[in-house]
Amino acid sequence: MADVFKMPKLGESVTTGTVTRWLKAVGDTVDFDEPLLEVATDKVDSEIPSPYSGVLLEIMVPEGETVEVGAALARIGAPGESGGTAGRALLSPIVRQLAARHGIDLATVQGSGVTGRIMREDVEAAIARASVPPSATSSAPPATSAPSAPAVRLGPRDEAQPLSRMRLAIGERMVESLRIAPHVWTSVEVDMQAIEEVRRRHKEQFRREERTSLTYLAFIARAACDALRAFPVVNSSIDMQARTRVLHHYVNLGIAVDLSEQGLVAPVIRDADGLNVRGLARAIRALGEAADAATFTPDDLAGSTFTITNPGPFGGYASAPIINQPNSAILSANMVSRRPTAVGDAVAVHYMTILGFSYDHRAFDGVTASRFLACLRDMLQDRDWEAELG
Amino acid sequence: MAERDLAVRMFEVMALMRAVEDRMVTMYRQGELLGSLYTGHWHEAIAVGTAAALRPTDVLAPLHRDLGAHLWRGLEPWQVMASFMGKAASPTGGRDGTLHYGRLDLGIINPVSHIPNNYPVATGAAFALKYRGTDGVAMAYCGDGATSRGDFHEALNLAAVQRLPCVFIVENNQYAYSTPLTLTTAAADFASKAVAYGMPGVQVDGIDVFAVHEAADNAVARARAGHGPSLIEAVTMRMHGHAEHDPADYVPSELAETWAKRDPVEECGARLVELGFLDEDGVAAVQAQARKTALEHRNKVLDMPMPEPDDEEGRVYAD
Amino acid sequence: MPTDTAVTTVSYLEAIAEALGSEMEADPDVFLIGEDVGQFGGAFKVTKGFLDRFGPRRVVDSPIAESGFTGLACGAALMGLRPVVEFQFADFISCAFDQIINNCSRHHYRTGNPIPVTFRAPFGARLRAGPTHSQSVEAYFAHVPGLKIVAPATPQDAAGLMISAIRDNNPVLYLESKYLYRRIEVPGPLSLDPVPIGSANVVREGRRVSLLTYSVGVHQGLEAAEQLAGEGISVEVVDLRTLVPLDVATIAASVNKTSRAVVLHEDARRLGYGAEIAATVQEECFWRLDGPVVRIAGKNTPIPTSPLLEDAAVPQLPEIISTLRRVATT
Repeated sequence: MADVFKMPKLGESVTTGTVTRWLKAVGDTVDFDEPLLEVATDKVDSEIPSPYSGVLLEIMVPEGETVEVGAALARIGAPGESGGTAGRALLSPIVRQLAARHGIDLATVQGSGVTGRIMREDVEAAIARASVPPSATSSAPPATSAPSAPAVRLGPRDEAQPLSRMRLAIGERMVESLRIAPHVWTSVEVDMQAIEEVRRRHKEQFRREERTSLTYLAFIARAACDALRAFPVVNSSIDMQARTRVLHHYVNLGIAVDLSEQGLVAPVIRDADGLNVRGLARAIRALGEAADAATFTPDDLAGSTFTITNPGPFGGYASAPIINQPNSAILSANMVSRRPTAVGDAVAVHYMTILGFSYDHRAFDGVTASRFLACLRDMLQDRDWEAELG
Repeated sequence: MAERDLAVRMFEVMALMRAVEDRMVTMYRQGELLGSLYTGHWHEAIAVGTAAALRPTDVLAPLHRDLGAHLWRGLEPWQVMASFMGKAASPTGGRDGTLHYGRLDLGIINPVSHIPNNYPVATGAAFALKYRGTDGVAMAYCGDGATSRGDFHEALNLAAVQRLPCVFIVENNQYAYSTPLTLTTAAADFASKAVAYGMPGVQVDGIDVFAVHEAADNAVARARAGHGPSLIEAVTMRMHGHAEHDPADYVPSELAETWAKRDPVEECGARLVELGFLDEDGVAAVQAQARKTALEHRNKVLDMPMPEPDDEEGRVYAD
Repeated sequence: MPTDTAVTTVSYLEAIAEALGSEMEADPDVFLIGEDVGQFGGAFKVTKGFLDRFGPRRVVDSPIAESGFTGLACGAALMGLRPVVEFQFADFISCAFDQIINNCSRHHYRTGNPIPVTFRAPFGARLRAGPTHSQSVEAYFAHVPGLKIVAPATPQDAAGLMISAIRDNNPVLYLESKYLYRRIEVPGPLSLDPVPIGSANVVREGRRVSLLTYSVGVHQGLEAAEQLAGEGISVEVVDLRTLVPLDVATIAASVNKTSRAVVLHEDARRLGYGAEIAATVQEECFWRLDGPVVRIAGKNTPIPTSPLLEDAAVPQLPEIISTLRRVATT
């Protein structure tokens, strides 16, 4: 989940601050301690360093505005997060009019306003792009495509960067997955309190022994493998042309791994359903090391039957990932946070999380999805994890 | 104008003023008028006596109790009634009403209620007459109450220092709405205020049209000769309320009764008989004719149409 | 002494004087009245030399009597003369408020008789002259039906609008900028063609945002536009020239083109004339707007005297630039 940076109190009696200049724009990477913006108060003008690292996802307060101390100024988080909705949501009359008149889907338009807002010029650029005939490279492999002229009209403040092979490949795969599979998203809320308590009890020792953290992901992966055995159709691959579904009597678990924000890959833990929590934790660690060392081979990346993506610490409340073909579904493990929940008739504050689940509606239907998730949830909540780890 | 003709004409216009205003009081009570009715009962000698001293090419800036001056210049009684009724044919086409009538073609400047705004405006008319090298005169009217405002002072001062051909009339009828003279000024009279501006000031009996006329003649002659402005205070009594809705209970009955005996129209009629210009029947006939005319004008105006909105924003600016 | 090769320049003040003198030559019904306009040549010397040139009949030194000489001007105008009335500072026009509102502005509507008078009012701040010598008065009078109001920003327009104001058969309030009197000059000679009342002028074309302004604001706007051009932000500057009647067509065309409107004036923000402009833009251009109409205006305070205080009370270039930048990019 992204961090929200709030207006700091820059003096004893200071109650408000005015944003005078943003030193970063939406989409820029921000490092911890890097100057983020300039603020003016009654007493003093200050350059404010960022307390978070990540990508500046959203600017909530534009230059020139004055807000109270503690007001949200910006969101900083992982790239590609759904964020900046406040800025994007403001569609001005001219933006709507131009979009309607020219058949532009505003969801596909990048906003260049400081808060991420879609401005008139952005729609005009989209219109101009839409009128450019499709390039011959759209169906060729990325490596052999010749670069074509950008459809975006470059202004003095625009910088064109060529896309990497990996970026192009990911782009192709994502578009293709959405194209062939009707994605339906559902979710389940899981009370992770019990797992949290087990984690706490074991984490120090685990770290000593395994040289890695005992993460939620390991528990979720373990429960997922068991749930997949109970619901084999979720672990299948579908071939509409062959009119067959292939059931896999093993779980090759793909785990989405971010490669320094340059791309996303899903290396595979083979026969994951044969591993317990400890085994999965080790396997996940190994993937992390391979990612850091950039030592994945094509074999590492192929053959998954099910995939888990783990925005985890950077993640938001919930997320709706794109299915890793040829899987029939993908699970997202999001932020675990303390929230009030009903325990009997009382309210308690437990560690809770939302598991997101995008599935291919060609392969199975909502009842199956819900039952799968319920099974997964129950395993996470009810299993004797202490016994497994001990 | 020969002395007799002038005297008779003055009487006729005074009688007409009285008849028209009496008729309008009746119309008011009969619900035929739009709003308030302001009359100049007991101001007839002042209104007519002063106007009679002017040439048609001179300019007047009268107020609401000077109907006789308008009538002298040629304004028709029905036009006044139309103004109080908001008729399309009123001098302002219904855009203004009540006492806000005038006709620039007759040299009468239409007043506003922010009295005495007309005083500086009259100085401007005088300025223009002098500027063009004519010996024309501008005459301005206000009441005792209006002398309290700054425009009274500024106009008199400006006219005097620029030696403008102005005659300033102060109609002292002793009441400004409910404010008696004693709460309007601590000065003994208004005529003596003229000295503060370096101009002559005279006080005359406002009931006596001949006295008023003589004073006006002198002031006009003075102005025409290029000697500058002067002030005439004509003393009378406001016999009706400030407007017809005002019963004027604040006027001590003694004062009202005393002044009731000095009707300027009656006194003028009597004087004409004295001078042999008319006999008593003649006087009565004039007054009867005046009442007849007033009724005829009422009948004429009653059926006139009311104005409809018609490019109102387009009327705001002159072309 | 000017030689054949010397380039003559005309200042804003000189342009007013030249136009005034030219109209007085052309039309014998034009006369001047005000305090110190004759013998002294005017407090700012706009009418220097006029007494000698035209004589005391046509250049009238009035006593201190704003209401009096305004009423006088109305009476004279009703008689067909064309008075040009000078208020020594626009701040003193309040002394004549009654005459302007009640006698002058509504007379034609009431009677059909025109009052062709021109009121000259040196207005505006930035001269350390304080709360009673720095006022902008257009907002009060813009509300009154029957008046026209002009506020030239350039010497050429000062001349052209003075001529139009005098020739107009309606009362015209002519707002001359004290600040600009001697601060701007243009190469001569001046054209003495009348500039139509009710016509705005796009003094700088742009694509990204429209700055709608008048008087001093035009010069600030041009400077801001120049700086912002270096940042790739293209500002269109519209000099309103006439406040009443407003040239809605030119304003709407500009804002419909750029989709962003910023209004700038020195007068206090609350119910300053910018409020009328903003409301009009909103009505005319809403469906083409990319953001709210923004006003840059003076503070809601009287104009203070001391320099730092006065500078903080009226719009300055940095604020204008940052507001334009924000509107253009947010």
